[in-house]
Amino acid sequence: MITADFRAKAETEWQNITDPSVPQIFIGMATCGEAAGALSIYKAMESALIKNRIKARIHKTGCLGMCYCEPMVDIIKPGEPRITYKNLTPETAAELITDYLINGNYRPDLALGVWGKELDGIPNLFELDFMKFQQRTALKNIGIINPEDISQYIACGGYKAFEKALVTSQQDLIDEVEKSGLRGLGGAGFPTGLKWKACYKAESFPKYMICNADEGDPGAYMDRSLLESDPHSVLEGMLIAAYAIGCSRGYIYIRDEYPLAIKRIAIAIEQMRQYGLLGDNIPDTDFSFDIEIREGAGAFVCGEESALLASIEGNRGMPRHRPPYPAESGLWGKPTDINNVKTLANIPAIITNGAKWFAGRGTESSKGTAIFALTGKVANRGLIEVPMGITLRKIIYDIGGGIPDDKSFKAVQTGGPSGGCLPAELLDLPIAFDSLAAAGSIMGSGGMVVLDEDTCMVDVARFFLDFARQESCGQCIPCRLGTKQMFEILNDITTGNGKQTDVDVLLELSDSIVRTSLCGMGRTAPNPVLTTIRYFRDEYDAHINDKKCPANVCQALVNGGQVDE
Amino acid sequence: MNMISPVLSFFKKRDDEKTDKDIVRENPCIDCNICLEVCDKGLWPSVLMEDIKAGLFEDSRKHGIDQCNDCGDCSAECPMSIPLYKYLRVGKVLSQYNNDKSGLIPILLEIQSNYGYLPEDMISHIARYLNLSVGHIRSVASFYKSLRLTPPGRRHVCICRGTACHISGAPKLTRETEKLLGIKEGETSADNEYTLDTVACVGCCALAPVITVNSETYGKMDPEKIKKQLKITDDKDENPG
Repeated sequence: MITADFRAKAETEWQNITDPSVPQIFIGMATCGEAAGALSIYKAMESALIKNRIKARIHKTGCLGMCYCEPMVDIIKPGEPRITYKNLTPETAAELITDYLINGNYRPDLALGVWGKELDGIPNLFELDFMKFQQRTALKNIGIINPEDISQYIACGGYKAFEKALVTSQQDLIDEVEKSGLRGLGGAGFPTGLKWKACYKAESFPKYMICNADEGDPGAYMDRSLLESDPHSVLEGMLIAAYAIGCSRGYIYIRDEYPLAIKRIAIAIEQMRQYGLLGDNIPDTDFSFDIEIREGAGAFVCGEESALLASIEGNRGMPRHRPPYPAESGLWGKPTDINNVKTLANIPAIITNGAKWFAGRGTESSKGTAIFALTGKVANRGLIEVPMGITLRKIIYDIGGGIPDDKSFKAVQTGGPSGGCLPAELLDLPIAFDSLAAAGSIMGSGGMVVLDEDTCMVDVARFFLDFARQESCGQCIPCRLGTKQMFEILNDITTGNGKQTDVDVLLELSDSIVRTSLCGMGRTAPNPVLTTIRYFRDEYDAHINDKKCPANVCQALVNGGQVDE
Repeated sequence: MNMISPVLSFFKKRDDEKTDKDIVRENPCIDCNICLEVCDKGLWPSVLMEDIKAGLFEDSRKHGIDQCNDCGDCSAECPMSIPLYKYLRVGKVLSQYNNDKSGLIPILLEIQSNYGYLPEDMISHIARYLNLSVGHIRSVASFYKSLRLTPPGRRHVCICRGTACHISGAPKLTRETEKLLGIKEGETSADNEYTLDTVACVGCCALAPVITVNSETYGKMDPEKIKKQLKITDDKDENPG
């Protein structure tokens, strides 16, 4: 357990970092930062500091979510606010050391924002369009603290919610989560409180707690960023959930494509053990809990909960029929609670601030915030957390900064391979679980890919069906053969061999697949085709009737069939 | 008379029927303890092998198997040419999971991180210790995209085919890279230098299109940059450090 002494020590240490006596440098080192060159920035700054004999501390933080500005560096000079610099190169990073730390020039040309009042022409970071409309709850610590240091998380109020939970009864905790209206943020949106209650009431032991971090949706990386930048918030959520339900063992099921996230969770779990937050009889209680990391091995379908269970048991990750739901009969036939990373990251805030506070935001049926990975053809790409009910227009134009290169907006794809493409007419649609479902898409886990006029919608549909075809586990016929048939028809259309009847056949096939597939993956696989036919029928017609690709994407239909390479 | 079926007795000789050769084949160790002398970590490989053969993973942990650094000296120096390192390697992984069948996927991933793929003899070792059929392990290994049954090239190039990468030109990038390396997706070049694969999504969508080379991520790629990237990794390999 975290002692008051340790918390006080962590807080003083954090105070020394935020109001330091020597300069503090923070380098964003999540996967996207590293891919953008954060490691070379780190080396350049380190050698510049040594060369100029400056005493400073370099911290490795996670990602602030502003991926369009990577690589990013924050600097706190004694007596100055924290300033964020963007798009650095090793040369400009070394210049910063001499110009700012030695000569006191803020270098507004490299700066992105100040953590506070405007300074020397550098705007307030949180007044920037990208940040202004966000309400960060689950993401509140990302890019601010060092994810490999538990004391920084504790200094920012970490594990207080768990301490509060330990003196609350299990029933009250579940009621609180139920009252908050939190819905599963992995895609389906099942009320979290009900799930917990079902698992709590199941009379079989032991019970298991699983955190689903198998973020398979192409075009989505919210879970990765969260786990790389603030793993303890997810782990605290897991602890609270396990305590409320009465689970004795937990698993984090994470994709092996995310090596850095795996490494950081492993470090975080080790630190939790060190401070007695995991293990037998967590001090002052009779609650015992331990967490194990289980790596996935590159199967999209393992994000489906029953397939995930099969995978943890060491079998082929194939879904099974539900009911019985995992809450009654899950891992090894025992009651199992499975929650998404983002759902769990919201739990500490709900326990600390209360259900009323959480339910006060969002819409009638969708409470709280939604986390999206805003990518594709949009100026400001990155990770955003916005209140439910915000419109697509606000996300894409205000936060995202619109479409780059003076291109026009064509569609936005939400929910990955299970979601759909929404056209410009629906830009004013408020985002919530129900409104997106009514428009033919789904909330999904949070991938939001913006498509511009250079994107061919038939090609996008073909892309998703190709994905579904490859990732189908092959167990049930509608999904295994249906997606293959749909893919082949779409392939014919994009290569100029489309027939008049193709669209009708696609609709008929979709209908059968949706109605007869075994698991959620099959039932939602036709969504990209259904929405593109619904909103972009003219593009299908152009491909089939005129043998033309309006966006000049489909190779066989460009330049009169001459492949231009 | 011992009631042993004729078929079984064909394979398994009774103790009194065993020749010296049979005994040596079953237990070739001559207790010379050279392996103990050569081990940098002060382990006793022949004892560890006995632990692992008997399935006593608890004991193998007590005997310090976790410290083994796969140097292979024990096998190289063994006068009876016992492949000690193979036992140690698989034993090290298995000892973490204590014969737990549910550990199959992490065990396979761990073996793969050592070898680059899943060698046939390792699969049969694992099958024996976890009491699973080889067929079951192969069925699991072939289901998951990350597990390979064939060795990859020295440089494993993966092109991300996530949505953001797709609309930013991943298909063209794949075609260009196929031309550049002279191999198709999923193939390994004849000189065993490159393997080209695609991956569902590496989660670096803001830097699309993205490739990974031996698990290092590189963003904002185009055919020119790929050429340069593969060249740069060339230089790195030639001048280590």
